[in-house]
Amino acid sequence: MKIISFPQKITVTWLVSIITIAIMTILPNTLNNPNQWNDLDHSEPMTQETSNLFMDLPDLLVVEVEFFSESSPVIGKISQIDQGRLTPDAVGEAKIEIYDDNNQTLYETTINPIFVFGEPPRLHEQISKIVILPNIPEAQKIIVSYKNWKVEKLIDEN
Amino acid sequence: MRVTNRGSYQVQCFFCDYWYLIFLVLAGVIFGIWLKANQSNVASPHAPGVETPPPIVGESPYYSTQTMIANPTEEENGSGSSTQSPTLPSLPSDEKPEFIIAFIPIEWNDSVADFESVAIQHYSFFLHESGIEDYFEVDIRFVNQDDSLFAMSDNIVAELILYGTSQVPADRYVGLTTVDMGYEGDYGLAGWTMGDDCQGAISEYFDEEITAHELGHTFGLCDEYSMEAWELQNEHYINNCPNQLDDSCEMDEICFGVVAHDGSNSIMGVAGLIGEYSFNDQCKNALATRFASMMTGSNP
Repeated sequence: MKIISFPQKITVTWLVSIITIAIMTILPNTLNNPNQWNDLDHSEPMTQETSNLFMDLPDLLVVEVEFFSESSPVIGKISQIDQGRLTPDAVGEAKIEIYDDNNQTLYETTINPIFVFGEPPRLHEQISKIVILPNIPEAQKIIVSYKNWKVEKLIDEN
Repeated sequence: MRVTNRGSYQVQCFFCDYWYLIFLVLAGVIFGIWLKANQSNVASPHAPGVETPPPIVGESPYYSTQTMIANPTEEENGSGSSTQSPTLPSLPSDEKPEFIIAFIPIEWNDSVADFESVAIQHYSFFLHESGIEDYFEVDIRFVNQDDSLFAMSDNIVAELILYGTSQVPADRYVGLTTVDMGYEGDYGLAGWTMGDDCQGAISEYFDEEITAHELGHTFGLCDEYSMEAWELQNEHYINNCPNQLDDSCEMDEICFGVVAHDGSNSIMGVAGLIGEYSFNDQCKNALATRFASMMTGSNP
């Protein structure tokens, strides 16, 4: 009555078991973490729209940037924090990019330096912005572009 | 015919003998989907080779009191049914992202318990008036005081954001102080921030409307107490001013702000008026638009 032999049956059972275990292992992670930056496809830079927003994330960079209304921005201290959050900013004039060794953009976001602040508000010439960025292992440098200025700093330059 | 019959027999026999394997595969898929549904709120590590920091226990620099805080009811708040429904639809609770507001004592000359009590009061007022809970699961965290931060420092907002980020992950950092922040002859100053999209603000402790006003700026709202202030912000804020001045507002005068439809004073207007304060309808709608766009990371 049996057409499939016993060794064939064992082989089929083994294959199906492996496939089942693989599905059970991979599927939940794939569905849960569609935007992890460890699985980046570097053909497209990650943006804040494709990042994990509004959750505590491990291993981030805190970048201090001074913007001036009439001169080039200055990238200040870059420090690493164990936990932080990527809170979206308005789409703005200033672009912050993370590059790797090959000058490929790994991450980009924009912020909006507004020189009007205080109570009552006054027009200032300088504003300090704190930018939180993912600490991507391949990252080499950070580039800030604002108006016609472009400045860069190596991440390990502190 | 024989070949066809034989093939059909083989298929039938395969299903007879291996039905349990098919069942196993289906069970695996169902289990995976179940795991996804039950783990959707769990943050995950990101960078390869980077270990997730262990959970902070014991001497934690911050802690959450989300379960302790009951949002004030309308009766408790005294505002009645004053708020207009936001124009954008809100999400069911299980789909809302988390938004964290951290409070930091700055030159706080009272007890920690008092600080926490005041912070919860300011936090609850903002939650109730802004409608942010229609879009986010909001949580409060407290940060320990850093004695190197001074309320009157020229760069206090940036400094408290830097300090806050080193202590606790949050989306907004609010410094509360018992210091009178008004410079000599400037008794009106009770708080400030660095404008639209700034992640920090500082305010004096005594009035919950101050914190709501400053947080309103960080979400793009403009001052309604002065035409000069409003026009300056309208010119420089990236989306201009979403909230208008009241019709009677004139240059070189203190303006009241547009009252809410229940008659309460505008949080973005002048402080110190008699009566309740709330975000007026334009402010509420602007906040709702901002919250909705932030959720997708496409903050306008």
